[in-house]
Amino acid sequence: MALAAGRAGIVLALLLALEAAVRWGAVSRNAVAPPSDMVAALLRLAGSGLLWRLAAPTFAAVAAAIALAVVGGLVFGLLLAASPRLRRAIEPLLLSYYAVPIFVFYPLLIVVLGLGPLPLVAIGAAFGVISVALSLLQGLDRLPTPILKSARLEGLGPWATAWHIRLPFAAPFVLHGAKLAVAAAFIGVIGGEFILAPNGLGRAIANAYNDFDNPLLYGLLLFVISVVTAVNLGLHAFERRLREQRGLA
Amino acid sequence: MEAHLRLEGVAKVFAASGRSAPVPALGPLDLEVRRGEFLSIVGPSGCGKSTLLDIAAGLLAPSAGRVSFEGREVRGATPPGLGVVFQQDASYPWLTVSENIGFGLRRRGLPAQAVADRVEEAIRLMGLSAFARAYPAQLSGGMRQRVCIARTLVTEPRLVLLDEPFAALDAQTRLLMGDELLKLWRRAGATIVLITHSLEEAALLSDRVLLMSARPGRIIETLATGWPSERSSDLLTDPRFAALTQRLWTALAPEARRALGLGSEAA
Amino acid sequence: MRQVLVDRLALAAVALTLWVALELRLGPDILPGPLETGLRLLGLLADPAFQDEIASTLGAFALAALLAASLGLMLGAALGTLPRTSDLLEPFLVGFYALPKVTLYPTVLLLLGVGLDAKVAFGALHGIVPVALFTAGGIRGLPPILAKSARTLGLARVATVTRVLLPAALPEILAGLRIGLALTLLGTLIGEMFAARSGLGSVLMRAIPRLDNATVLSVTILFLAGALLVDWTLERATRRSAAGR
Repeated sequence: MALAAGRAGIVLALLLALEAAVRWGAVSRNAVAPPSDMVAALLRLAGSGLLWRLAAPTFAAVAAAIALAVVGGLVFGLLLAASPRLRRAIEPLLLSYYAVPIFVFYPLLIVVLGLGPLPLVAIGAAFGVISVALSLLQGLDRLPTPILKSARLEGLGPWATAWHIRLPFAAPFVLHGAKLAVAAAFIGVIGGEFILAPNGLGRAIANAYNDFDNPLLYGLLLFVISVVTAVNLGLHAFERRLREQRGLA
Repeated sequence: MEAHLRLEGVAKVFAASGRSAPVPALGPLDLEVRRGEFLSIVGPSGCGKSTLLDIAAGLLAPSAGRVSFEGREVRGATPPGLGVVFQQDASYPWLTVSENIGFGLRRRGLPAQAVADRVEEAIRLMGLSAFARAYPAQLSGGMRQRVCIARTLVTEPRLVLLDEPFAALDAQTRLLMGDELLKLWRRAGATIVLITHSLEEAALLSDRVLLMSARPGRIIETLATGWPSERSSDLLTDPRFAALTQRLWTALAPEARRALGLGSEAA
Repeated sequence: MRQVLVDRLALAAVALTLWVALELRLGPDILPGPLETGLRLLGLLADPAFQDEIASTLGAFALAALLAASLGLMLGAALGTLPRTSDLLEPFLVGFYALPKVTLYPTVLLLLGVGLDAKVAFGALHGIVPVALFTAGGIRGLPPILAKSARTLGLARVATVTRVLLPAALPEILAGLRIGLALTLLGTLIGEMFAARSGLGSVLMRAIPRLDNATVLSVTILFLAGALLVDWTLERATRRSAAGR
């Protein structure tokens, strides 16, 4: 509780410092808006309905990317689990996945899929597919032998064992991979929009920068940071509860 | 009287892997478990006790010999009516205590009310009533093992194989759990086969004790304890208990030395 | 061992076949084939103008990596030795790590202007946090006896950190550098793709409107190879430092 209060205090102090720095000219108003203006701009945006029009395509693409990452990652992970030979051949390559600057694929995806929501969904899901697949494998690897034996005692076949034993056991691990996939979906979609896209929040931020529209720029910035932080905090709390329930610390 | 569980000429040799030669792990051995008895199998570490249990439960195919349960050959699958409790924690961390205990019953397609009734009774019997909705991670090791025992017993098996079920528990808890096991045995009237490395546990709990040799494990001696079925850890102070443990150790000590790679005249 | 190699070659052959099949399906104007891409890549590598672009990206990345590594190490060492401060601050770092940092790029640009500085700063911004988090975790995981024994040898606080704790936490620090430098490269790339006038990222963005897809593909492959090279070098260093224990 004291920690939470301390953290809230830090946020408040930083905001006040920024406010003061901009108002007294230590930081140029052309570069950074004071936090009070950011909040006012965000409220105006929300009130006019513009915010929702800008955010709707982004959230749709993020949701699609998350769904694709989770479903694709589970299928890919199960495929690797079912074929040890395939797994041996490509797992070392997969383990370098975070080293790949995924945005380098974005122009290529635009070339192949056309400019629109599809390359955004693909770039948002690319990282997550692998993080979900690898976390599923990690969970499946850790299943203790006695649990597997007890499943055989119950007469469970391979499919029933997968469904009733292996997947439930691996669930907290998969959740961890899915959490990374959610963060990556926001990063991928908004980043893609920022670089090149017909619409969306990332595009609106880039446009606001090009048009020198600082209130819009910082209102949107505040919105994106708040939404993503709230989603990540929620997932983090959910994951922690599940891990405590399972004794994974 | 017909044998409840019978092993004839059972042996297990683990196949060669890489450069290592084939490893004879068990037997050949013959074994007969009588209906309703409490039988313990004691042997030095690494003598193949757990392999024996896996073979008896149909989890592992023997390299030679045959296993029969209630007159029918055991092959490739665990026959109905045979329950197993493992040494390591096999509770399901994603299910609550009552869901864990009801897992096997639900798989058998019992009506929900019947499952709930039997699970509740098992929970009460195991002293887990306060933890019915807890997850295994919130329980102590001893309580988790009780969940596993309850999950097996609730399906009312006619024969229960227990593989060092109390190995992870402290000495006092082991004694109490042993008493509970005796009570359950008298109540349910099932046959019990307990695999253990503890001479005291075997001497205290069993009707008969089988002693196994060092690897590859064979049966070297069978001892009847002569206890009445109404017995408990009170026997610890009985002079017959000390004599019995002494006899077991005299027979087993050379094997234990051999398993450790010590000469027979060492010590 | 040999089977793994054969399997990998087979997978590479499958990937090449898919590439060619996709080329035939979409047409070579949309997706150039392996041969055309390879020739374009060789042609670009021989072009002095393109070499300048590579040098621009490499220079920016090197500077950003240096910044990220040194600032990350300092921050990590501070967090690792001050447990209460790190309890307080780490959630902010983790939260920042998961943020779409592109949205902050306009701020960086407004503060620094378009050019080398902005993409360097933006690249470093991506790498600092993972380096710091891994360094702090590595130091915290060390047996307390290390710091104690250093103190009995009369080492001052800073010397304890630089002479004892950081070397002891080297494997974790290298693991953090692996992730941190990968993200630094990503940040540099985004910087170049959005607003820079030079560098491989800007080559990519200029090629798209020209429909010069062979160049897009060549630069993608080149960049990917560079990223994996950095990763594998650090991975080997990590393994060697861990094996030395």
